[in-house]
Amino acid sequence: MERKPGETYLYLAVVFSLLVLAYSLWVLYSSISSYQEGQLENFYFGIIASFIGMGLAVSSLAATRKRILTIRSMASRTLTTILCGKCGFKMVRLFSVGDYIHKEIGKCQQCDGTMTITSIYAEEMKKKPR
Amino acid sequence: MVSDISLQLNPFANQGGILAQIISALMYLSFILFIFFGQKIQLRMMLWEIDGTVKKLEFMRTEAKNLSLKTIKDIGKPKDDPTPTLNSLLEQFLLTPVEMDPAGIVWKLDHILDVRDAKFKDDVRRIAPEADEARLNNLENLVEASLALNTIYRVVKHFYLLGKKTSSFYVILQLQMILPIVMQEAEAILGATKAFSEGQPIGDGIGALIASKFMRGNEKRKVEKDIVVAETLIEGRRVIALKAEGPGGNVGKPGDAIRRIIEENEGKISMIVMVDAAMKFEGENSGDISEGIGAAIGGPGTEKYKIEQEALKYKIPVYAIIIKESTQDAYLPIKKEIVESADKVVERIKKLILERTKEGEALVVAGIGNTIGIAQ
Repeated sequence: MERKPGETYLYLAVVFSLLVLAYSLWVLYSSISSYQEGQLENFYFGIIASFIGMGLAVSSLAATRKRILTIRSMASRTLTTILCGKCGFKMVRLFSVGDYIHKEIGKCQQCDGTMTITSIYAEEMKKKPR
Repeated sequence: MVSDISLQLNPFANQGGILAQIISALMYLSFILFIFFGQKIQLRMMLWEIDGTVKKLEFMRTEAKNLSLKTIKDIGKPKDDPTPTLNSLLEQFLLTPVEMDPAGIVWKLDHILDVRDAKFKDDVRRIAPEADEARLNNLENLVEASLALNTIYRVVKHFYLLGKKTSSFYVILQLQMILPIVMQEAEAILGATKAFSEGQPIGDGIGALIASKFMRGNEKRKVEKDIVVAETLIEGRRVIALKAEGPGGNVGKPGDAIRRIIEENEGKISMIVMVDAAMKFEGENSGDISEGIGAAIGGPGTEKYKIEQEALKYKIPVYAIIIKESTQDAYLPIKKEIVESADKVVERIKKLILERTKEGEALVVAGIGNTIGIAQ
């Protein structure tokens, strides 16, 4: 499936945030080592820097997650409902260009009635079953 | 005393190192900076945020323009490059009549809108000569959506650059305050461009869809500009249903059509029922139905004026049934819950007809809205 440029940006943002988070954790680990070695200045500096880094990374990840959820909720597909006026046979398929409501599209598969497009509507994309 | 407090507040102070002194100095400096330059910093941050939005709007405008161009080339098969004409269409404007002397302003505006519509359609026809009438209407809607996005982008960019140039906090503040609503509308218009390019029904078309349910299977005739009418009988009442001519994107002039129908029936119309999509409040559900009194029709107001004038002249009651939607719902492909409300509205109209009219009387049911993707 083709990926949109906006999605690439989101994935890059996630990767960058994870890198910042990993580096912050490493700085935190280093600062604890400095504390054990008695280097208090390095300890305080490391603690502050790592907490700022972790805060920024977590905040960025949360914002990106929100954005991804918004994009997913916006994704929808348009469906066309076709109904036989005689036997009531109903068919739902993806919208195709040229479809319009009240368009007669041929004979019914079940009887010789006329199939007509009765509605066209957008539906939110459902999550794939796991 | 002060140094004691700073020692308590600053954990680095006890260390006595250069780093601690630098951090202390930075803390004081940032405090002083915020006192004197707080508003300037806030202004810069707001400009930074607006700059991002302007870039996003520029992207949306380009997307809409590219889609318009692609659709024109696919459907219209122009012999020459349509880009220059499209660019000129996207910069088109309309000057409203002078308001100093308001007498007759509605008719002046109506005339200007007619001229504008005719010219716009002719221009689109010129760059898409192979398009049939329905597709031409869809293309017209698509180019209008691109024009709307272009206008939003230009206006927002203008105020952004003006605020930046004058460093006016209040210009920037006002722009920043309305931007979320502007962006919502811009995103909805961008969504509509896809619907217009493919001819999908949009949320605004629910009124037309409901009217089409009364017209289905009955003889239709065209009255006035792009409006079709069909008659049906409900429990001995003559129901004259009207909507814009579909399935191409069209809103027509329902005001003129209703006036014509009233004149044809010598004023003997017992009521007018208008069905339209209307803005829902936050927290309400899309597809909810509400009943009221008055002409339910949006736009610049000319059609509403005509309906109100005729209703007053012949003392005809005007009832309104609205289907609630958000701005986004109105522009985007019609949602399932909105489509599902159509049959409920038909039942409500039938109930209203039985309650408010007698056998043998005639009434008008007007489905208002863009009829893209909806035939009759």
